[in-house]
Amino acid sequence: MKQEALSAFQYGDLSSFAMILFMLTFIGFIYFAYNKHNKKFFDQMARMPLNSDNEVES
Amino acid sequence: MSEATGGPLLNETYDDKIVKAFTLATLVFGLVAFIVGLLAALQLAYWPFNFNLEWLTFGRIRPLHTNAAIFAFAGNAIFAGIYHSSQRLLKTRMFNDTLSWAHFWGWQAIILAAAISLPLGFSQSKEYAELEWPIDIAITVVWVIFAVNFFGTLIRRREKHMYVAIWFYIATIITVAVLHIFNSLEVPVGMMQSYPVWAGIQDALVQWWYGHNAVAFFLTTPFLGLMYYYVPKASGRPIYSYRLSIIHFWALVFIYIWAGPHHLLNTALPDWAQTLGMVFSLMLWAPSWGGMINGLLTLRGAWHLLRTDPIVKFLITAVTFYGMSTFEGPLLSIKSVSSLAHYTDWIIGHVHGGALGWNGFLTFGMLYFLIPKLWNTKLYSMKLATTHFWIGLTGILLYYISMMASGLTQGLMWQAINDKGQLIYPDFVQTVTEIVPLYWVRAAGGLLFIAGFLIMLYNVYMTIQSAPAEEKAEAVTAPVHPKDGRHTGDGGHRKLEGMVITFSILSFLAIAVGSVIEIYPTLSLHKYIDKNAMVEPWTPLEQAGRDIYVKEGCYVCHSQMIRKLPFDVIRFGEASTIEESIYNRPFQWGSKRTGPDLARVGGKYPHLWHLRHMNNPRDLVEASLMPRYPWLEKKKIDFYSLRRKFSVMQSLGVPYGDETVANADKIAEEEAITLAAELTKEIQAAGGSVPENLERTQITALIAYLQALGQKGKK
Ligand code: HEC
Repeated sequence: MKQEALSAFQYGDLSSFAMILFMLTFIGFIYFAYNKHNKKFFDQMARMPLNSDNEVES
Repeated sequence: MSEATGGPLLNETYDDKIVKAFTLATLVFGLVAFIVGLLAALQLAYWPFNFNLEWLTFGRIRPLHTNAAIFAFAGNAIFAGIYHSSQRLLKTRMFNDTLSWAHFWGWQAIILAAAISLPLGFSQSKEYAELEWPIDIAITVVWVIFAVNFFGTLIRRREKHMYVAIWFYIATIITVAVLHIFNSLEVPVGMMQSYPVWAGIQDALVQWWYGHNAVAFFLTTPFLGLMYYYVPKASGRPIYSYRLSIIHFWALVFIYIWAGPHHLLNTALPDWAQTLGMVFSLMLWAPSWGGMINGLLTLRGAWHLLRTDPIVKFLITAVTFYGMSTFEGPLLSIKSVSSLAHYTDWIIGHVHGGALGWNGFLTFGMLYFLIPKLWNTKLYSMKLATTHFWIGLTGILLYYISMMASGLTQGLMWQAINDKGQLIYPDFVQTVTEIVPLYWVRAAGGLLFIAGFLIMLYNVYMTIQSAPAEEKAEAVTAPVHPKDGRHTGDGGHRKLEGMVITFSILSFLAIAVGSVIEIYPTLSLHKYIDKNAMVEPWTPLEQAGRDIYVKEGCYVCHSQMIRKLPFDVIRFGEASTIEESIYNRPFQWGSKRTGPDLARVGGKYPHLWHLRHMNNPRDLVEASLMPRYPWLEKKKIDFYSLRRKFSVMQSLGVPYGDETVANADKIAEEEAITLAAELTKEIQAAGGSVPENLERTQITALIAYLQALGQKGKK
């Protein structure tokens, strides 16, 4: 019985699926982040906390 | 900025009163949390600090300390920082002042309820989720109030894009809600008592999914948000790499949620879940260090600030501690390292590197920055702030090093086996006496940390004294209409940053995937196990005893999970199985062994041994540091509630017959009479005097439970 119960715990495929899902998501975000197109925008975003507290970013 | 793009301009003031309130609450509860922590440290160094009072024993004080540190100190700090920075980053006042104050007072009321109920022994004995069900409900309500207020603010924001700090806040709010709700699914069995719907291994997995992510989403993501705002603020430089922050955010949110099982390595948890927990914990190293580097390098070209500005000192040291803790965490998640470190004080050291160094110092830095701004004045003394920094840092280092040394000592002594395959330190208490000097060093470290904090309180007091009498609220002028990213033609992540709802749903999905994959298979466990073929559930008296064990918080020192490791098995007996704890609500596998594992203590000693040991452990084990529990011989067993409890257990799937449920109280009374008679015989044989009302006092129920531990699976 116990053996049977434990055999139900071989969720190896689930782990592989999780890994693949994770890698794909991760690559997606790297693509977004390092897309040259966004560089200027990011610099602007990075300055947000430094803009004086009552000045609106244009 | 023109009317054409955002509608008419509106001028409004930021709500800084609420920020001030949270700031002061942080300071007050910081003091409470630290002092209670010091008391706990002293109790382990010198047992009389338990004062032989049930309200002050270590089993009740430690949960009070952890809850105060996490939810009262760090919680109020997070709220102060979020309310302050969000308004400025979103260029708007908080959504609704009434909600802000409901959030504030609601949270303080919860803290008060915790401060009263934990010492009284109302505890679920699940780490960082000890608070009983009425308080759990209150937490949910207050958290929803906070969420509505925060998302309302996001929606009425007058800044198109959400800065990275805001994403971290969003992830925090969503994830903490999910964690709290799932880990708090419990059935009340009394005004201040409940059983979780999860049992045994399920409860363990859900609890550590919660417990680990309390660290991740209560002590990490919100503080990272604060880092991304206050480090640039204090140093006057933008964050090192905004790109890195995007990766940091998504990788962290996605990976963190998986790491919970690293708290259960080498236990009865199925291997696949252990492996998953270990692998994801190792992966966490990358985004965590990405975040640390991002924080540290923000100072590039301005390193001199580290020398001259105590605020920057605090913030940057905090980020360094974040880096150290997130390096150590994955290391501890490696199965072989865990076999050495788990259950030892190394973990306590690890936690405090994070809590004192990362959360504590980041909070202090933030508050030194905020308080003069909020009160429209200058910090009373930069010099005192620098003194605070050095004293505090020395305290943390003493704390960390002593606990690391203590943990390694314990771990190595527990493992030590000679050529003949025997334990070199068979007597557990030897491994305890060895580390007591280190407990004193730890207490000294804590004392220094508090001393530094007292200097801060004085500094803050003097600063506020110097504030101008007239309050001046900061105002912002910005277009009324929130500009929705959808209309702007931005692509990719830029668009995402403009869309609150989409962004929040994606964050939710990021945490949901890991949670479901990890927990679902375990929740469906009942399909595969024929419960009747396994252990017997607790008898009514044993269950009554178990409830006392839970109430007294014995789990703070005792595990009930013998790992599948040779030295654990030699010391404590056969490794614990899933089946053995399958009916346990809550599970009591524990996370620390200041005392020996109790999973198989049943039958090891006569009843009388336990009676005397619980009354005063030193009577039997001279060097013991376990507290005394003399009140157990006075307080009565609650027979009356047993029928209700058993019917709840039955409805949750524990195989009790209707007869047992209907007569649970009577059965327990009979069991107690039998046990008391056996005990009386033993006492008389030993020539002692028999305590009054043995058959009705709690000690009898507790002994019944202790004697049944590990005996249930025997055929
Ligand atoms: C401050 C930590 C601490 C707390 C809290 C604590 N214990 Fe202990 N316990 C110890 C230590 C240390 C030992 C080993 C020395 C000894 O036997 O007294 C021990 C030993 C024991 C033993 C003997 C185990 C054996 O195999 O010899 C039992 C039984 C026990 N404790 C029960 C309890 C119960 C029940 C509670 C809660 C009501 C409790 N303990 C709370 C520290 C603690």
